[in-house]
Amino acid sequence: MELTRYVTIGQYLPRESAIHRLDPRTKIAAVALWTVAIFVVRDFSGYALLALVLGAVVVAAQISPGYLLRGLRPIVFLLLFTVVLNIFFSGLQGGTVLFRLGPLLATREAVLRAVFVGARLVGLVVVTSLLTFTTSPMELTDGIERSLRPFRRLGVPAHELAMMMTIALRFIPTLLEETEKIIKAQMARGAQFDQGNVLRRARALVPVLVPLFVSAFRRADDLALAMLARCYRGGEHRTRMRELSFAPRDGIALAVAAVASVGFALPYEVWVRLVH
Amino acid sequence: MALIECVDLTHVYLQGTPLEAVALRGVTLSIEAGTFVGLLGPTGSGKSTLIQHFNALLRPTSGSVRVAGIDLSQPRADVRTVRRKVGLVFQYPEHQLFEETVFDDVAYGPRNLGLATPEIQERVHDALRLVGVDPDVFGRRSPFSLSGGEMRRVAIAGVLAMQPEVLVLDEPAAGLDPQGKQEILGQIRTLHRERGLTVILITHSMDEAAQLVDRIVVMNSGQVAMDGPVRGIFRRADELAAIGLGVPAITDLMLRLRRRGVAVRPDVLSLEEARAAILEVVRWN
Repeated sequence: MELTRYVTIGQYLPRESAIHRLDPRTKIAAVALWTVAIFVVRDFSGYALLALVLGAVVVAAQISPGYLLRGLRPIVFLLLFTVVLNIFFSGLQGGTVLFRLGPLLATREAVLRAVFVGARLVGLVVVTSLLTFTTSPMELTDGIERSLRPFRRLGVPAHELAMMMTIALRFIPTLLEETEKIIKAQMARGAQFDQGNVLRRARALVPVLVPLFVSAFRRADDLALAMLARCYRGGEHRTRMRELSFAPRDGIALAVAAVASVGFALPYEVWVRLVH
Repeated sequence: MALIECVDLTHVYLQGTPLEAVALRGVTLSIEAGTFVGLLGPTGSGKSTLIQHFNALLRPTSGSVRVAGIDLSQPRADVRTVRRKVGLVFQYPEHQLFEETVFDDVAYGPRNLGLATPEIQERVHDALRLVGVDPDVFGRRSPFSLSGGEMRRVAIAGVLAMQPEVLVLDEPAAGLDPQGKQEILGQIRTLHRERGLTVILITHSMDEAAQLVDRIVVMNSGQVAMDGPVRGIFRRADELAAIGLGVPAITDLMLRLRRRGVAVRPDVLSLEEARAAILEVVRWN
């Protein structure tokens, strides 16, 4: 009964690493670049380079690989589903037949593509987890707010969005803890959540969900009141305790990230030509 | 054999993750049937973790817990029986109310036990009366329309309706006004005296402990720091102070008098005892 054990996504792991010290905007930009690059990768050399670079970041950020991989557990089902679907229903015509499963046909090309799609999913989760593992929620929202600031002219409520995110992130662990407590309290009154058919199980959740909603609303009320009591009135004229500032290392990191993302996306043939 | 027996009980939260935290280290403790035990200790000392082992909501990382002879370190232990025997009231239990009426909320536990309707009705009425809530007046009201103290009592009734042999309460009086506090604690005392329930009470109030319990277990950083009869524990005021705990106000008064050279007995727990102790000294002089 430890919900936080299963939810590693969005978790911040405080460390004293070079990656942690980067400006959040640098990391957000790198993640954005790499996310785009991951969608462009077409061959093994690209994925190999991606794996290599991500591995280097994981080591530099002092995160245990096992913990990172555990974050993939919630998407295992999605991953399998996607891969299987891509193998049999790729829509690719022709190619070398590898094996048959009744009416379903698996070609070499389709399997290859399915593996790539799977690798892409894993890559996306790893890249975004790396961002949250190495960036505290506070820094993250600060970074997002500052990155969105140029769009304020276009009516993007940068501060409000960032505040909403801060609050949401702040309350994930609190609500998880609360859920765990309520589940335990109802279990102490003989509740069983793992028995019976789907309908029964869904009904068994009512004693958890009702108190959870009640407490979420109560917390929201309390928080709003506490913010008002401290004269919160949105982003106008608000100063910060810690101003974000780019350091030389951010420039270097950004350059490395940009070069790497081009590297991921370049087809193998181009690499060969570049090297020669 | 004792009703609850912990041997070398250790519990580690989130073991194998970067957020690993040791909450209990080698707790050995036994609690006899029919006793009233106070569990004291600073915040984060492992009290809440410990009591969750008593009804199998948490399982030992190592060591063992036996409740009524059932070994909870075995993965296939009979958890249902343990949960029926040990009723656990969490902190702020009113936060777990969910039903449309007070009656239905208290009936949630008995219904989970699969009891027949007349029996459920009887248990709900009985439990509500035990906590001083009139089932005929409050039974059909929404639990969310009650006052804080009433909600608390209804939530406790929800556990009592399971008719446990052991009642474990985590700060049942926290956040109530003085009158609400006295009422709840009085009802718990009655349950212990008249129904013979074994009670384990987590509290931060030394005065509550002095008034209610027979035996005190003091926890500190996941270990049992002191364990013994109430009087004996409060005589060790210096040790208690070292882990950030105090003694009851009346015991403190006696200690201060002694420091000023008045040779009163230090181990008094109530106003009457203090009065007797002071009179004794005055008479001798």
